Order: sequence, then structure tokens, then C-alpha cells
Amino acid sequence: MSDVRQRSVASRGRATARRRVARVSASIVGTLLGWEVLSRLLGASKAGVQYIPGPDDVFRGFLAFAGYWPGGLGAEQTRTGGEKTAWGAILGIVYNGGFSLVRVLIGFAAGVIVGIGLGLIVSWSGTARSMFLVPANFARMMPLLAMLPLFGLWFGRREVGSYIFVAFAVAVLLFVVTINAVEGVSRYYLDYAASLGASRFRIYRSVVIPATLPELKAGLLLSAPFAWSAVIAVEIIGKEYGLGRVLNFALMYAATDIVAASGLVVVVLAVSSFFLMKRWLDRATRWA
Amino acid sequence: MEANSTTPLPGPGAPSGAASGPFAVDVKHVSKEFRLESGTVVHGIRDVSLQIKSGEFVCVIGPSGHGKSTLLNMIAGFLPPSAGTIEVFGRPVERPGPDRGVVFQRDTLFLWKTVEENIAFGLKARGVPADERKRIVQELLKTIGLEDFARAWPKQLSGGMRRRVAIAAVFANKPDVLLMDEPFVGLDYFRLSQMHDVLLDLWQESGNRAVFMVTHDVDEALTLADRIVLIKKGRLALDVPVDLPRPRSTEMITGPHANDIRRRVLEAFTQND
Amino acid sequence: MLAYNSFGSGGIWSNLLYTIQNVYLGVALGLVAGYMLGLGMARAPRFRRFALTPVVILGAVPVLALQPFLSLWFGTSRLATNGLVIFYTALTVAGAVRFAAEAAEARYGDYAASLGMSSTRVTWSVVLPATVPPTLGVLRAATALGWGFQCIAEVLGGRVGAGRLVRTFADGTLTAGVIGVLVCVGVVAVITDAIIAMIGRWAVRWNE
Repeated sequence: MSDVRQRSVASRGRATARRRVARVSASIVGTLLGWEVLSRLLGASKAGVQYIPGPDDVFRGFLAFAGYWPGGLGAEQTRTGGEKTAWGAILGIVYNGGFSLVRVLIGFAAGVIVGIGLGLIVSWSGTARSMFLVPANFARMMPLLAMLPLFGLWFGRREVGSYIFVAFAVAVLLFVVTINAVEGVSRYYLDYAASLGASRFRIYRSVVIPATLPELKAGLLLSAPFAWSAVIAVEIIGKEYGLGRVLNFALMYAATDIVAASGLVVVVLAVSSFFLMKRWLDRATRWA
Repeated sequence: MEANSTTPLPGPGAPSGAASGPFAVDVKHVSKEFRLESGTVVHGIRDVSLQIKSGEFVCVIGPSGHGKSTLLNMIAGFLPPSAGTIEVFGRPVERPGPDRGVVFQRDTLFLWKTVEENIAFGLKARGVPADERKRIVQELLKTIGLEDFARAWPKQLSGGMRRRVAIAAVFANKPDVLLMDEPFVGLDYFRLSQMHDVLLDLWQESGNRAVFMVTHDVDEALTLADRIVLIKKGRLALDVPVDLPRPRSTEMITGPHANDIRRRVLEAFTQND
Repeated sequence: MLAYNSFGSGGIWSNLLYTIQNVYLGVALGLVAGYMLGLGMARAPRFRRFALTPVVILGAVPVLALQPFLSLWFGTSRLATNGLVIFYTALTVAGAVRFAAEAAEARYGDYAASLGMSSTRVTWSVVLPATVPPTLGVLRAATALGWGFQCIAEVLGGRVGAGRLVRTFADGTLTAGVIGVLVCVGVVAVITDAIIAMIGRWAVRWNE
């Protein structure tokens, strides 16, 4: 390609990119404006609860996070008389968000290891797999999240209880997914591998497990937001710090703006962790 | 595809393997029954006896559903016979193993392994050291003409390319018997003849092992086989040697000897017992 | 455990019934909404461009994060506890329907067009039936999780329902009661799943 053509192709590429940025920002601005208009139009209910908090309300709501910061680093605890500052709010968001995030990460990781690990161990034997198939599917039918009070009874308010609850919910889901995935591996793969001289262990390791990865990926993407739901449920019912707690208190006082603000933080954290994980999983299964 | 050998090889009974001694494949009075859910018994294979010598290329032809694949699966060790025995070089067949390589009709390449990993799979499974593996894989890639695609995923290859990799992967293991179940179904004539060249190259380079290939294409059988066997209604209906030198030109497979065989096969096909 | 069950049997059954009704209703509404969403995205390119980003992001949102908003807007009415089930079912069904519809379009589209069928006709007579088999599996999965969402919504803020029962028992440290209710819900869920599977097998008896 000659220099001139190369340059024009490149500049056309840049122009398209610029147009796309313009389009996206226009739609974002448009959404925000439309949101604000809608919120003003719908107004508030008789009890003074704003139907849809607009962007300005959400912004105000963020300040409330300052009340959930235990103090230090330049922002005083508001409960004992300190002021609500923007810096305090940021600290509050990071602190509470951090608590929730850590609970999600630990619970999710534990659930993944236990769920997939046990699933793979059980699936090694065809008989064990068929034995577990029915009870595993039954367990999935149980209202997993609703078992929260049960865990509350068993573990009280201890932190480890929340980790175990989240891990339990995730593990049950992934256990079922793993067993079904192994069950679904085409027997032609197994026959072929055997005819090449692979031992049973090697077949399991190099053929069965990779073959289940696409299905496992779907299960993981399903359980990630599920883990967040579990953590929020735990925090609503009784933790001192965490996004769920902020949400709950806001609900109790019907403070729409704080509900929106904390909801937004949850959504941002959950969605970004989801897409990060998806990127990694897509790469791991790029052969599919 | 360049032909690797310039001297035409004689027909059945290639130089490798002893002239006397056990057969490469010895099928003795084998039958296979299937019991359906409704209770009826279907006879897949009825009392078939067949011997394949080391170095023989046998093509098995027959109407669909008459037992060709069943017989192949039994030799491979995927299915046990209801009666009779199968031996490979004197060893009874009980389960699948690397001495009987199988090329399936459907694509069984491991999607999560690259082309070279797929070809090396059997070698790795049997503990062949890494540099030896690399050498064998390189040679095979050269023979099938896919050196540039060593690191590609199967999903990036066309159907014909994947077929070549599948055959190479089986040849890498140097099996005593190569079992192929209609491996070239659906390819157009041009690609088909390319595949045949690749197969014959690999076959000759590996020392002419015994081959048991199921096909429905008489022309293909005439191009490749030392011997054509017809299975009809679960029984051996015909067994003819193909006395043509290799490599076989189009002229040869449309010549009088070939046409004679073709006629006999088609007659046996359509004959009502 | 049986003692507790028979003690408030009237109360337990009516609460359980409330939950069952809500899940069935929620799944049904979600199914319809999901179908419309999925078909719309598959058949109408403008709609798809508009809806794609929100739908993809919503798929990543933890369902329970919506619960506070539902509580705010709908108090403790039925919709507040139902909303999660509707939302989740609609979203997952939409994904399955869209995927299946696009596959059906690829497989039958040209053939149908060569028979002179209009796009609308194709949607109703060709694509719609083709989407039923894959959607069935998704529906069962969504319902299974739906029980959990419905119950947790009731635990967190409902006045009635199995979840509320669980909360009551838990507050009174009646572990057996909690387990009892959960098992009951589980049994109903399994039965529901079997019913859906049966209906599904009948509906797709033409499938190969």
C-alpha cells in the first residue's frame, strides 16, 4: 500500500473512532438529561418519597456515605458530631465498598474451589456422578438465598458465617454445573483418546476437564452476580459495615437518594468485576 | 502434494511384517447382537471371519446400517462382540489401545489443543520424550503440508485441514492397525484426491501398516485398497483383491480390471438374497 | 419438626401458597416479557441497537440490588416481592430466545423467504416455534433460582410468604422450622420443575 493510501485509511479509522466517541457521549448525556427530566416529572409520592431520584439526588445521596466512615484520615465520624464532607463520603464509599468486595471475593473464591473441585472429584467415577445427579439438582431447587436466616442461626454475627453462606450458595450452583458438564462430554472424545493410548487419569485431565470449560464459564458468569446478591442479603440482615447495610438504612428511612447512590456503587462494583472476569474467561476459552 | 515414492509398489503384501506369523487383524466368527428397548434383537454382524495381513490396505464397503461401523468398533475395542474373538497380532482385543488407531467420521480433534498438541497427544500419553515428540510432529506436519499452522486452533482450520490433522495424529502413534470410519465423507472430488495422496504418503512413510477403512465410495476403494470387502446384512458378501500397482492413475481406476471389480461390487450390492 | 408443621398448618400452607403463586406469576410474566424482548432484539435491528447495552449490563447486575428500589416504589405489595423473579426470568429468557431466534433465522430464513413469507409471518410461524426447545432449559434454570429470589425478598421485607415464615422461625431460633419451610419450598420447586419438563416435552415433541 502506498503512503498516501495508508495515511487516508488511518485517518478514516481515527475519524470513525471520533464519531463513535461523540455518539457514545451524546447518548450518555442524553440519558442523564432524560433521567433528570423524568425524575422531576414523576415528583414524589404522598409520603414524600421521590419516585425516581434524578442525577442530582443521587449526587446528594453520595454524601450520606460520610456517615458510614468510622473516622480517621481527615474525616471525623459523623455519629459523634463530625461533619459530612465530600472526602468523608469518598472514604465511606471505599470503606463500605471494600467490605462488600472482600466478602464477595472470599466467598466466591471459596465457592468456586469447593463447587468445581468437589464436582470434578465426584464426576471421576461414572457411578458416583449418576448417584449425585439427582440430589445435586434437588439442592439447586432449594431457595439458596433464603437459607440466610439458617446461617444466621448457625454462625451468629460472625464474619466467617457470611463467607460460608456466600461460598455455599456459589458452590451448590457450580457443583451442579460441573457434574452436568462432565456428563455432557461427548463419548467420541473419550473413545478417541483411549485409542491413542491415554490412561484414564490423563483422559480426565487433558480431555474431560478442558471439554467442560465452556459450560463452566457459563456457570461462573451466572454465579458472580449471584455471589453479590448473597453478600448484600447478608449485609442487609446484620453487618456493621458494607454496602448492604447502607442500603438497608436508607430503605428504612425511605431516603431514595441514598438508596440510589448505594445501589449505584453496588452496580458499578458488580458489573466491573463481572466484565473483568468475563474477559479472563473468554481468553481461557478462546479456542471454543 | 508431491508423491513421495517414485517407484510403484506392488499390490497386497507390502514388505513390512513377516510373511508367516499372526495376522495383523484376525476376526474369527464374530457376531454382534443389539437388544432394543422394545425387546427385539437386531443382528448387527453375523458370523463374520476376516483376516488382514500386515501391510494390507482393506476397504470395507456396504449399504448403510449393515454393520460396517459395528465391525470397525469391535476391532477398535469400543464394542465387545456377542460371539467370536478378534485378535491383533495374536493379542486378543478387549479395550481400545494405541495399537489400533482410529479416525472417526466426525471431527474429534481436541478443540482446546493446537494442531501440534493434537498430533503429539498420543505420543505424550505414552511417555515419548519431548525432543522426539517434536521431531515426529514436525515430520508429519511437513507430510500433510500444514507446517505454518502448527500453533493454530482447530476452529481456525477448514474441514479438510482438520481431517489431515486427525489422520496425522493417529499416524503419529504408529499403530499396528489403522481403523478409519468413512473419514472423507462430504469432500469434493478435488479435495478428495488430495486427501488420498496425503493418506497414501503417510501410509507409506509409516511403513505400510494394516488399514481397515470403511467407505461407501467404490472409486475411493479402488484408488486406495489392496483388497475390497463387502458387508451386506451383517455378513461378508464379497472379498476381492485389487491387483493394481501404486500410484494409481485415473486411467488405472477406470481400466478393465477396475471396472470388473466395480461391476462385481455393484452386483453384490443390489443382489437380493 | 412435624410438630411445628402441624401446629400452624393453616398459616404455613397459606404462606407457602402465597410464595408459590408469586413465583408462578412472576415466571409467567417474565417469560412473556423475555420473549418479547428476545424476539424484538432478534428481529428488529433498530431495537437491538438500542437495547443491547442495557441488556448486557443488566445481565451482570446482582438481582438483589434491585430489591431496595422495588421496596421503595411498591412498598410491601405483591410487585415488590415479585419483581425480582420477573426481572431475572425476563432477562435470561430474552437471552435464550434471542440466541435461538438468530439461529432459526440462519437456518430457515432463506428457505422461508423463498416461499414468499413476509418477515412478520416468518417471526410467528417459523422463528417462534424454533425458539421453544432451547428456552425450555433456561426457563427451568430461571425458575429454580426464582424460588430463591422470591423467598429472600420475603425474608428481607415481606409481610407474607415462605420467606417471612423463615424469618419468623429464625427470630424464634426454631431451626427445625426454618429447615422445614425450606424443604417444603424445595419439594414444590422440584415438582414445578418436573411439570415444566413435562409440558416442555409435549410442546417440542416434533423436535429431532
